[in-house]
Amino acid sequence: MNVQDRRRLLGPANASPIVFSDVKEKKSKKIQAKPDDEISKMFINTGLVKNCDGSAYIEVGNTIIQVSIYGPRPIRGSFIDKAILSTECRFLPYLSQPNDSISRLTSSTSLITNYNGKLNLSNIEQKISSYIESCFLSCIYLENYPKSSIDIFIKILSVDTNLLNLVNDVVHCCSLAMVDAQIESKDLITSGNLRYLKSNNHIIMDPKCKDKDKDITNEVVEEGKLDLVVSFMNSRNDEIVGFWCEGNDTLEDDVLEKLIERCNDMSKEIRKNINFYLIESLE
Amino acid sequence: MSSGGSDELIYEAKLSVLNRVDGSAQLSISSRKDLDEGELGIICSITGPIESKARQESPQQSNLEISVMPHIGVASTREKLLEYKLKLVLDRVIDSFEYPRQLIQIVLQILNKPNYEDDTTIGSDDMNDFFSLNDLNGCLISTYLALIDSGISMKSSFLSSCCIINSNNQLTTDFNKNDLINSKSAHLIVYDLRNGKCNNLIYSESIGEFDEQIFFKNVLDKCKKEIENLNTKVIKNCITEKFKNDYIWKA
Amino acid sequence: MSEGNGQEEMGSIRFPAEILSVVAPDLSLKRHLDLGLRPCLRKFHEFKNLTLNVKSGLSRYDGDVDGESVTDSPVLGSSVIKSGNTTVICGITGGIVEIANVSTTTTSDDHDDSMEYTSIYPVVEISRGKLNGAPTDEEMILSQQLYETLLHSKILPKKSLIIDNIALKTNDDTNNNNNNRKRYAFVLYANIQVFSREGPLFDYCYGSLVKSLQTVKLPFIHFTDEEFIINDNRKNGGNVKPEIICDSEAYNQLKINEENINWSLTFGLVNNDDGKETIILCDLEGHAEETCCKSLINVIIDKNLKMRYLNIVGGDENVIIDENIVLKTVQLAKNRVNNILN
Repeated sequence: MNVQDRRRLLGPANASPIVFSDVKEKKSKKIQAKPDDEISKMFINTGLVKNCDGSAYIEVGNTIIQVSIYGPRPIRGSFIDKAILSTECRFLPYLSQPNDSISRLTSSTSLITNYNGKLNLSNIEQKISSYIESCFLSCIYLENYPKSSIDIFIKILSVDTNLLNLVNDVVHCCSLAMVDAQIESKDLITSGNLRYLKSNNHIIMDPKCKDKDKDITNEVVEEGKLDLVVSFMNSRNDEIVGFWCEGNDTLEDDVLEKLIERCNDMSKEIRKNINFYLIESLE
Repeated sequence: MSSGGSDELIYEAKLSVLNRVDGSAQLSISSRKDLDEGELGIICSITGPIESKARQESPQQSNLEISVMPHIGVASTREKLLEYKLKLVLDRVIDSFEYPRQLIQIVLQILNKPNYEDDTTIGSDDMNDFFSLNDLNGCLISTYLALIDSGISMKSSFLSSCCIINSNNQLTTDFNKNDLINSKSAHLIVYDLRNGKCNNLIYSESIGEFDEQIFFKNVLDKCKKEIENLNTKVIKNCITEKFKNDYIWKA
Repeated sequence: MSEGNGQEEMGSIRFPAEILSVVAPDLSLKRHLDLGLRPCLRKFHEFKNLTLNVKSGLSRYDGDVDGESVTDSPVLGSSVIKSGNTTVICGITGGIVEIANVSTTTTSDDHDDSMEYTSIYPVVEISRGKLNGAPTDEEMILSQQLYETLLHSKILPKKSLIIDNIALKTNDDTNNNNNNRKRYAFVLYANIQVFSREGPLFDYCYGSLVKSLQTVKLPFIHFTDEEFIINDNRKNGGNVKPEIICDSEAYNQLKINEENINWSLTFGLVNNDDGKETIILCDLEGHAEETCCKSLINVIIDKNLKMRYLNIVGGDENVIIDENIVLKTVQLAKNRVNNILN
């Protein structure tokens, strides 16, 4: 903190951050064995936050996501013929974000003592925001809301998974909030997420494991590995609205096709669950 | 400059110290017992009623914009809280329906603080900084004076006073930084005045451990006395002096 | 409404209750009070329901039974408060600061205890659909109020945060008894998230702060020697080379002054014009109540039902605040605090 922020109580400027030694692996987690072809259970709820137009809450394992949607609400200024969509994803300031080390390498504020002092969106937050934004841009009937804006606020309250798996949950949470806000859309977006291990041609559906930093920085390339999130509009001919792939290996066409197929299966499965929830909540 | 006060405190006050604003006042409060302590000095300026920004405008009443400047450095959240508390009192006192769609700007600059060590490291844990009752007291009295100087309509007169109960269970209005830190409880009381007498309680803040009975019997009485004293011995003279000066060319 | 026939009188407009409370909050409040109710449909002295959760799973040591399942979260203590629709989530994290070497020896000095207490640096964030990150006035005021109130409550002794025994992780123990070694202390930060902002926010935020503080656990500390590197990546990051490292599992419960644990309650005072009597409203809620109740009493009561803070705002000139009404309010507060804390 070079410049003292006078609008926040950030405490002494000479404080240094608490750094913990690594949690010993055996103790860190009771490894919950989930079969590789199974989707983990989630808890969903909508309409909890009252001072917005639509909200949703998702808990998957130890990952907790809350989304509030404000809008359609009037904008100031000149006339526009369709709604502006904006998305802001924020982690609670003290959470360590997935792939944190990468953003830390690139950001100038590498040494933050008081997490509360963080102001701008980190790289990861920006990436998630723009993924969600581009998914929903093609899904909402923006032209039905002239002179308006629709703002999606994503709060990650707790995170215990890898980046793309988190994105997967965020997509579902946003879709639910969209329904709660009753914004006219072409369809409800759901997505699938999987990890492809190239060496043994193995697919892990809904991978819940946390990435170690070294996996990303490629210091140790143990094996070819690809992470994939694909978002669909399953009731509209399985149109793809979003695609995000990260990994350290190349991807061949035929494999890609297969992976998208599997993502779609997963997406449909989740869609069924969400449909069920929504029908239930109507009664 | 009129000065005077109670047995324990000396107040000095002067109106119309700034000539480019609509109302201003300078106030200092110091201890009679211990003159080396230094004084609490505050200057207050009021501009208004003036045209308000569209964003701040309210259709039926005037809006208040209060800023407090600390004696060293720039304003922080501490001053924000002071401003908020000032606003709670002033909203009740200023006749805001008299000036619809207008803005009244109040700026307070703290000039001196008693017994203030010059260690100004940012974020230092100086307890004095977190007892803002004294500052609030000074701000309220000087704002009152400046309001009179500005001629802005008020629903009632008001004055404030603060006191502490020290570790020997004594009630006193004269205290320094250490007394404050070691006090059992500290109180700020604001009354509105009618015919020179305290009328209704309009604001109070009490920090520390204390008893309701003591608060109502001793604390309020002590502060009432201090306020009435301040009013008759200082404020009235001060205002008379101002009006003498205003009509200096008459007759 | 009737069809426009020129001279016909204007029909009355009817508003649903929730819209009336925004359009004409004073009218809405008055009409409800006349019925013996409040706009939020509670009785005058009825508090909102309140749920406290200190095992929210956010803290590092939350799932911990016997040192077996510590997570890698930096949160040292946390709590979640729900009241009505409002949810307040508080997480406490820490930092380490070098302190002057003298401070503990001054106990003989009659500079008594209050200097020996400290506070937490809180940042409150209220989610209300604003895009830019600058804190609003309300957030700033709440944060500052929390800081000052906790400090004056004398709950957190400075001594509890001082790090006494640091294990040295080097091989040579020769300079272990070095007297002029630096001394360190923890500083605590709180991040408070507010969802569905409604009602007396300060009370909820302060409650969540105090409750979280009660759960704070401070990790054990080691010095690092030259070779000790926490994380391969930090090498690339370059500038993280901590002198001090916290043990991932071992911890101490933070020692706080349990006797001074307290709770804040805010009451609104209104005067219904037909009677001279002043009505006390507990836990203001909703637009009509929050904008029309300008007279407020904020009381903080400790575990032993002693008053620790009293703030009276006589914002409404129709409400005369006398001894009677304050005592009544304080009594209400004491009963409530007794229920919550004991």
